Amino acid sequence: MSEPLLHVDGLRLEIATPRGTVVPSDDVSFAIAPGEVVGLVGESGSGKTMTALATIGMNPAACVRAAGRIVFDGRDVATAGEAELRRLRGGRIGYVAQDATTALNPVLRVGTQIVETLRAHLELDRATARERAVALLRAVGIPEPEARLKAYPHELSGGMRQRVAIAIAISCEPRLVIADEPTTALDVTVQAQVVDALVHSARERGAAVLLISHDLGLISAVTDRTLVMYAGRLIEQGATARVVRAPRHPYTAALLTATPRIRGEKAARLPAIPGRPPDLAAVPAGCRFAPRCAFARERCRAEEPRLDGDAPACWFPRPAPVAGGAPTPAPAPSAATAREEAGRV
Amino acid sequence: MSEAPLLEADRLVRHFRTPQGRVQAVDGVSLTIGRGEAVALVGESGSGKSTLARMLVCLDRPTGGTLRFGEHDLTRGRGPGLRAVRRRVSMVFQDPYASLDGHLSIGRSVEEPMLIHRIGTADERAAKVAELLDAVGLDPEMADRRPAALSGGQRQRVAIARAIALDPELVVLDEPVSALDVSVQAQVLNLLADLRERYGLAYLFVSHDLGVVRHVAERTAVMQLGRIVEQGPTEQLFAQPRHPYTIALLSSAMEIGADERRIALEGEPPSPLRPPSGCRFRTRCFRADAICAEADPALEEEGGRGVACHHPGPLAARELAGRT
Repeated sequence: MSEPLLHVDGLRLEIATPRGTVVPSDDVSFAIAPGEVVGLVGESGSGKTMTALATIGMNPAACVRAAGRIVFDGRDVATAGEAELRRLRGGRIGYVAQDATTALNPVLRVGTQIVETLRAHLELDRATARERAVALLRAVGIPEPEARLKAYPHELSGGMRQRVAIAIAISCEPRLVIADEPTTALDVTVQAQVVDALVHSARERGAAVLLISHDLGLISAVTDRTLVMYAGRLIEQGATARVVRAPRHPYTAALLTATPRIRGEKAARLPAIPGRPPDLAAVPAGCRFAPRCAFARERCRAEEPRLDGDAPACWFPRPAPVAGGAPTPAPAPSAATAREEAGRV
Repeated sequence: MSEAPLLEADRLVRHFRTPQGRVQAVDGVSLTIGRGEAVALVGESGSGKSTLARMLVCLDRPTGGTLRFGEHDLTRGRGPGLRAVRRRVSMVFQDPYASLDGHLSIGRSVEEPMLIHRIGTADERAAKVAELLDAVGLDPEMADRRPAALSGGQRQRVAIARAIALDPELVVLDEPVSALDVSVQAQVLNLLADLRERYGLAYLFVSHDLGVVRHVAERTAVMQLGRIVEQGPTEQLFAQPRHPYTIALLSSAMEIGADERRIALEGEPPSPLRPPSGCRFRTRCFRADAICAEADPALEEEGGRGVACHHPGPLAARELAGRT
């Protein structure tokens, strides 16, 4: 890989709570190359959002970076001052939140919001900025962009609002766009369109994308590489096609088989993952997934495995796919009863 | 289904008056649910699926059509039949954080339906609460806890325990797993399957998630702007959708290994305030022509399947050509 655009190295985040210290990101390292589209997948509480926010210095004040380096485009984000961070965000880094309704200002016309962003970061006169705004709305697939500039956010549908948020995120020719669950609030038929608009418009501008989602289906449809997070740790990473076809970590494999599909064989009983993700204030010793893992052995409960390149954080990983070979089918874990699945506490 | 259906809705209508005009949330929907049958209702937001579900459990009253549950006519939404029916039908809502009273222990929440219907002595109810918590995979020892101490998946289990407390015949589930993580969602879906088998429950399962629907329902009805546009046995409907809307819906699901050539719908769902003339799907349809703007297609039933379209049929190769 050429010089990475974003390099996160040994990131540790801590939140002090009455229950103890919560660690949403524990020794997390990854890099994103210029123009690369990367997916970060994990369940709620896995730490994916905090990790992503910290990479642009937007983590809430209570969430402290305790260790690690974050280098974006050669600059150390962790030590950057507020003024420099503000120039980065919106300028070199665009951010798309889950809910555009809250991200957009409800009392300003859509056009004003895009034009303001453009003028704040690039020294443009009003007319040029307006022209750019029209082109941006067109780029994200908004019909009649000139007319839409005059609309207030509430006059647009959820899908259109999210497209406007994407237009703002890509407006200043960013080198990286971070999108956190950008389509979760949208209808199925609109989801595919919006995520396509996001990735397509970013790729056209040569921007890299970090797409955060709980949905492996969505990640698999648009990303080059996938990072899987569980309980504050990165546990698997690799080319997206490989991760979804031949997952090597039992958690990734279990996530894939636990998702009911609209095509193919239909299992009478879903292979659910028993229990639930651990409390980030009290993660288990050894492998954090071991208590829920169908393949856990003694070593897994004693020593914690660590991610190493394409080798997953697992003592007994599933085999790496042979080049050109058939995908390895997931082994069927033994059938569990509803009670076992609930991991009764 | 030779015997009379458990629930029978005939040309059910629900209009709402708003400052902007009349919204036809549900506009002439006919639906039956047999005893022990699992039926799914799918559609986008604004399709009317939740309004329909609420009418079926008497949380809302139809403005037209008829609704029968067993021998009771529920169309008026009152009368002696209503209380009897409320014991036989229950509902599970989407958000387990909002549907449970935070001040009540979870045992009390599960007991409440029995208290309201004056069922059993205190001891009998306590025993039943323990049995119900056990049935949904929770430790009966947890009965004293408040919802705040529970995870989302556990809360939804409590909501399900409460919904089956009166031994209902039909449970209406409105997006019951969409707030849950994948790993927990699979557990709750398995639980619902177990309970259905154990208690002979019928389900009306409202969801936008097609994978989930395929997993739980024997029959599926697809709703669009207040109408059922296609319905039939789930496996057939998913394998060979015939309405262009169903085709697009299935095609836009981003699933691993899915065909990347999606049938992207043009534009936005129209406002329910101003549905298009003729077929309500025509403004986004890839098959629409002149007749679609003129005549409103009726749901034509044949061999257990129904489709409301002037140009029904499986996706042709030429329709897929040139799409990305």
